[in-house]
Amino acid sequence: MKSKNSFTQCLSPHQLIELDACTQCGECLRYCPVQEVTGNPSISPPEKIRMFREFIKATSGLRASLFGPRDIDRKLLEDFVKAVYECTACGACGQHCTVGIFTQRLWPMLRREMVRRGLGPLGPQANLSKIIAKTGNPYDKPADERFSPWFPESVRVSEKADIGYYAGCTSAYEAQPMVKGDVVVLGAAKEPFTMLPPEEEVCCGFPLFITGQHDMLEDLTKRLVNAYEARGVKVLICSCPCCVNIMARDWPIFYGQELPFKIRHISQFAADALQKGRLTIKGELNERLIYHDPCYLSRGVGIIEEPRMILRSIPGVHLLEFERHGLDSRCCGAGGAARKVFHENAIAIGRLTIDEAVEKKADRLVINCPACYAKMHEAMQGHDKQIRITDIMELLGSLAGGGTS
Amino acid sequence: MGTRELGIALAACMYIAYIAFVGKIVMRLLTLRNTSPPFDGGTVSEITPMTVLKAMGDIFFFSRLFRVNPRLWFGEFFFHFTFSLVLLRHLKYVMDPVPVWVSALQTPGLCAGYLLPLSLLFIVITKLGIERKEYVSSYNFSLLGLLFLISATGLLIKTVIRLDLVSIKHFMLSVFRFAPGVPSDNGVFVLHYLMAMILLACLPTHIYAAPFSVTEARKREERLSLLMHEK
Repeated sequence: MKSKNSFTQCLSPHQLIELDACTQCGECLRYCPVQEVTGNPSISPPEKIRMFREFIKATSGLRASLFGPRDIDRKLLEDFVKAVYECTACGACGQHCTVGIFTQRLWPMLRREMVRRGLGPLGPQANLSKIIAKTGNPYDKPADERFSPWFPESVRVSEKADIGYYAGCTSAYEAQPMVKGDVVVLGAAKEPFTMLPPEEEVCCGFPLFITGQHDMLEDLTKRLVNAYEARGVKVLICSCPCCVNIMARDWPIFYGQELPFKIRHISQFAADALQKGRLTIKGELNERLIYHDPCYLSRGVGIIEEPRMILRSIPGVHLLEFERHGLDSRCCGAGGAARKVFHENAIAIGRLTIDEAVEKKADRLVINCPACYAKMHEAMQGHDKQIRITDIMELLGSLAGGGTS
Repeated sequence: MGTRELGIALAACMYIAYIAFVGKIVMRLLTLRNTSPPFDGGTVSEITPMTVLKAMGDIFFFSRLFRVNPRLWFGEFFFHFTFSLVLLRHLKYVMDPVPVWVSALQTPGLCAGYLLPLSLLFIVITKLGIERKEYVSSYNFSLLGLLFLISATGLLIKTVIRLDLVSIKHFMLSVFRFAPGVPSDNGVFVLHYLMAMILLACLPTHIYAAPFSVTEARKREERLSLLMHEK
């Protein structure tokens, strides 16, 4: 019989074993963006695991089984909740974990356990469910502002098409140049694509998933999947790495079966269109560009080469790399929905990336994620180092034209 | 020689240590009942012989640690390697007759016994002296200290005190046969033995969990490129 008091309710057997696997070596701290800006080991990955192990031991250990569960120290529980929600869930710790713990997946599940116990999420995160239920998006914005008045009039959106495009809430409300770039590129490739009307294009569920609030996820997934299926979509394209991540990894679970379409990132579409000549680049750009890998695109779903291929195909571009790039990339600070609660951390982390880009004498910082886009712009405000920030599709859209084939 | 009472007490310590060690694993297996179905979106995949081979390399050569910290890898690898050899060498005290392979490991095991404390010192110096880690696990350092004392007392027994190893073997066999005999009452031996039992009871959980997580990581990494790309 399952014990409701157990702290392992939201974990898979695999994740329970991962908790046991942690050697507390502390090597991951060198890669944790929150550690970089706070220097506080008490909120570090091994400490979170140590604390959670204590909870499991107190409720499910040998002594608890023989003599009954122990009360958990309230302070330890509070410390844990803060630590697990201060995390950006970027997964850099797991990428460098000496025993291979999949932390990008583990932290959201530990948060889910805190939600189950009524201890999380924190601050504004706690209103996400209500807001999404009311407006369809986590920004509490009306649906009719989702694509207007800025959506490019020149771009034609089909009623039905093999390709579906999902803009995503953060892109639509906080990083409109990304959506403009996306649809301009789709249009330039002369590829018919369809979109859902703004009131139907609801949240993909990622903000709820990452904060451990799973109640609405099945409903949101089914609404979106059924709506795209009804429009004949065979490939669903999106530019937001967080949306792409939950779509590719978790939608099949919430949908209950394999999705009726493939999920692809916009950079995959654009790289393919460039390679096959459906998209050409007109003009050149004599600039030193530096590309920031979004955590949930590189570590999350393995999209690393396509954005670089796109940038390298622009004549005149000299592409630079951050010290930590690809699978090892550093979080922009916006991850894990922590930016709304631990704002100062997010800004400080964002500035680390800006500083490195400036030190490497890049002319432009190229972004590929709406959360990174919004956070980096915010981090630049009042900062002594400045750099031009552009979304990759915004850049490509400004240079691209239709191909001949 | 000590007394029969001492023998019973030391034997009891071993039984308790084994119960604690096995009990922890059993409890963990029971705790699995309270978990949810796998929610490892997009990571479930078939395991191929090549994946197993690579994972074995990760497990036995600590290649993930090598990637992030080659200096610490050197210390950890030599610690685990020498510790394993010393453990295997100790099998001669609980096996009768002693298999040929255990006999063959006596000299390498002895050499490992000398290197073991050095590897532990290397780890401590690396973490605290050279890299000046801000995060230090008190549990890990307690274990390192315990291991250092166990290895130091073991070396003392081997090189300075020179106990009657035949009588020690008789005692160890008697403990394993649940008929404790009379042990040596040498203080260093008793300390060495008791510390080894404490270590057994407190063995870190990663010894059984890490091989699994490392194998899963290898599977996950191989699956990552297929998540959004055609085969």
